[in-house]
Amino acid sequence: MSLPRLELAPQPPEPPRRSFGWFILAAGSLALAFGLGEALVSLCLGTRQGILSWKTGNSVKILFAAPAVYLLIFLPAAVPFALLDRTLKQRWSEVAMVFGFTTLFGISVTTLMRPWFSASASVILGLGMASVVSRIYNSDRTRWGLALVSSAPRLAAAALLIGVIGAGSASVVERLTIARLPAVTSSAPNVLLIVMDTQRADHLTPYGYARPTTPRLARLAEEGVRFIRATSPAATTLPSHSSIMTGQLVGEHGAGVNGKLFLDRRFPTLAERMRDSGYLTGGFVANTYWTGRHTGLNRGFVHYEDFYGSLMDGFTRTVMGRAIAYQLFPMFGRVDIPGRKRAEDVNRELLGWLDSRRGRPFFAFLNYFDVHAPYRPPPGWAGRFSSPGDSVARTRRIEIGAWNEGTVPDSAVLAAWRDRYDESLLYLDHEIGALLDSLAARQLLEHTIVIVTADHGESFGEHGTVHHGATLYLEQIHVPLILWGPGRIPAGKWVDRPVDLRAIPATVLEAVGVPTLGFHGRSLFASLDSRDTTGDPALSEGPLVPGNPPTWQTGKGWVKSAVTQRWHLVQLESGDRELYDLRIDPAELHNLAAVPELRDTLTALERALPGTFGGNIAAGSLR
Amino acid sequence: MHLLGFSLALYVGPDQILPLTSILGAIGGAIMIFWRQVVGLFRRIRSVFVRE
Repeated sequence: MSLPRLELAPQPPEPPRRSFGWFILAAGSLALAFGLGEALVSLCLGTRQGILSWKTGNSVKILFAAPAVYLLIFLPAAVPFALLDRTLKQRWSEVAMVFGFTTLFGISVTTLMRPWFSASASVILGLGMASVVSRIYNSDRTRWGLALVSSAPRLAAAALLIGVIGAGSASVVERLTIARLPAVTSSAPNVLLIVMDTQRADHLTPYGYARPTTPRLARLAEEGVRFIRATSPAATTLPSHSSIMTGQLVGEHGAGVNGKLFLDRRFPTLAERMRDSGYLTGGFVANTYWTGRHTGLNRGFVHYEDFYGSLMDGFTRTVMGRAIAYQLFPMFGRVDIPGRKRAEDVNRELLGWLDSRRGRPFFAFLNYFDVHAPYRPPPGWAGRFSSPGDSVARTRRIEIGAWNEGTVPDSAVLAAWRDRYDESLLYLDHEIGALLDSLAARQLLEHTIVIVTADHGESFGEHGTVHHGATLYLEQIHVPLILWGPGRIPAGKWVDRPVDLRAIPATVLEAVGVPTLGFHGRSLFASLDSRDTTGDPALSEGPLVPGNPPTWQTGKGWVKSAVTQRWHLVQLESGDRELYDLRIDPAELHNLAAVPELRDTLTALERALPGTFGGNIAAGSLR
Repeated sequence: MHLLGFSLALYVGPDQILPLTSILGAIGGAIMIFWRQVVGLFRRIRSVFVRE
C-alpha cells in the first residue's frame, strides 16, 4: 500500500516576534490605505446620482475624513492584537489583525454599494476580501510585514497630499465659476431664501400661536407680507425642496418618488437661473440627509455647504463611523442626530462665505434643521416651555422621524414633543434674528429680499399620525410664508389667497428682474394684487411610500390635495375623497365629500388636481 | 398607456437588480473564502475527465 503523495509548498521562515510599535504602524498603514480606499469608492459612486443613499451622501472632504476615522478606530483596535501576540505561543495575532481590519473595510465599501448588495451580501463579500488578503499576507509574513510598516510614512504623505488637492480643487472650481459669471447690475437685490425644515405654520407667533415662539419672525411679518394659506407641494423634504427649486409639481419632477431619491436634470432650477444671471449662488443646508449634494438640490449653486459641519458629522461620513454613532451612541442615551448642524452653524457658514465673496449680489438658500425630530433643543433653550424629566427622553434609538411603526404615543409624550418642538423653534427664531442683524451690520440687509418658509409641517397626533410624510392634512402641508424687502415688498400685508411653494422661483426671478420662462407661471406678486380673482387652489402631492404604515394615506397609494380659501380636497389613489370646510372645521374632522349639495364644489376642485396619480414619474425613472 | 406599460416592463431599477447582484456578490464572497476548497474541487473534477 502506497502512502498518498503530499505536496507541501515551501514555507517561508517564521518572522521575528512583532513589537508593539510594529502593530501600531501596521494598523496605521492599513487605516490610511483603507480610509483612502473608502473615500475614493464614495467619491466615484457619488459621480452618478441615485447610487448613494440618504445617509451616505458625501463631499470631497471625505479624502481627509475617512483616513482620520480609520486611524481613530484601527489604532486602539491594534492594541489587543499586540498584547495577544506577546501572551500566546501561536503566532496568529498579526494575521488576525489583517483579517479583521480588511473585513471591516470590505463590509464598508460594499455597504456603500447598497443598490447592489444587501447587508448579508456585504458581510460575505467583506469576509471574502479579508480571506484573500490575509491568505496572501500569511504566505510571506516577513515580506508583507515589512512592507506594511515601511509604507506607513508614504501612505501618510499620500493621504495628506490627496486630501489637500481634493479640498483645494473645490475652492479653485468655485473661483473659476465666479470669474465666468456674467455681469449684473449693481442695484440688483440680494435674495435670502430661508427654509425651516419641518415647520408647521400654526406654531409661529405671526400665525396666531399662543406661545411666544417667534418674536423675531413676527416683526419680520409685520414689516413684510405674510401668506396665511401657504401650503407645501409635498409633506416630505426632498420632493418639497425640489418643487421649491424648480416650480414643478412632485409628479412632474419625480424627486423622492418610486425610489428615485434625487432631483434629475430635466427641469432648470432657480439657482441655475440666478447663477446664469450673474448672481453668487450659495446653498447652506442642515438637513444633509435630504438636501445634501447627493440629492441634486445643489445644482446651480457655485458654493454648497452640506456635510462636515462638525467633527461628529465628519465621523459619520464613513460607514464605520456611522455604524458606531447610530447604533452605539443611543445605548448610552445619546439619541439626538449625531453631528446635527444647528442654525448657528448654518449662519456661520453663510456669513463666512459672504465675507470672502464680495462684489456681486447673492442668492443664498438656507435650510435649518433645528425643529426636526428628534426634538432636542440646544442647551440653554430646553426648559423654556417644558419641565425637566418629561416623557420625551424615553427612547433608546435615534428617531429621525420620517418613518415609524405608525403608532401614536400617549398624550404626555405628544405634549412633551410639542414643548421641545416649540423650544427648538424659539432657538431658531433667535438665530434667524442674529443672522439678519449680522447682515445689517455688513450693510447687506437693506438690499436683501428675505423669504421665510418651510418644506412641510409636522403632526403631533392629529389624524392618528406623528411626524410627516404620512398624509396631506393641513398639519403636514400648511407652512409659513413671509416675504420681506424694504422698498420692494409692501409692509404689513396679509394675503389669505391660497398659494403653494411652487411659486417661489417665479417670485424670486420677478423680484430681481430675470425672465421667469420655464418656471411655474404665477409669482406671489400676482397674489399681492387685490384685483387678482383667479382663485387657483394650492396643490400638494403625497407619493406612495411602500414602507409607510397602511394606516397612513401615503402607505396606501398616491395622495393629492387642493386647498382654496374655504375648501380642502384630499383625494386618494383608491378613489376615496375627503372634503373639509376650513371655515367651520379647520381641524379637518368632518368629511363632507358625500354631501350632495357640495357635488359641484367637489367636481371643480377635482378638476384642479394634477391629472394622473404619479404624474410622469415612471417615464422620469427610465433614464 | 400601452407604451407606458411596455416601458415599465423594460424598466430595470435598483429593486429589480438588488436580489440578483446580492446573490452574485455572496457567491463571489463565498468563493473567495473557500478558495482552496473550490480549487481542490475543480482539480478533482478535472482529474476524473483528464488522465495524466
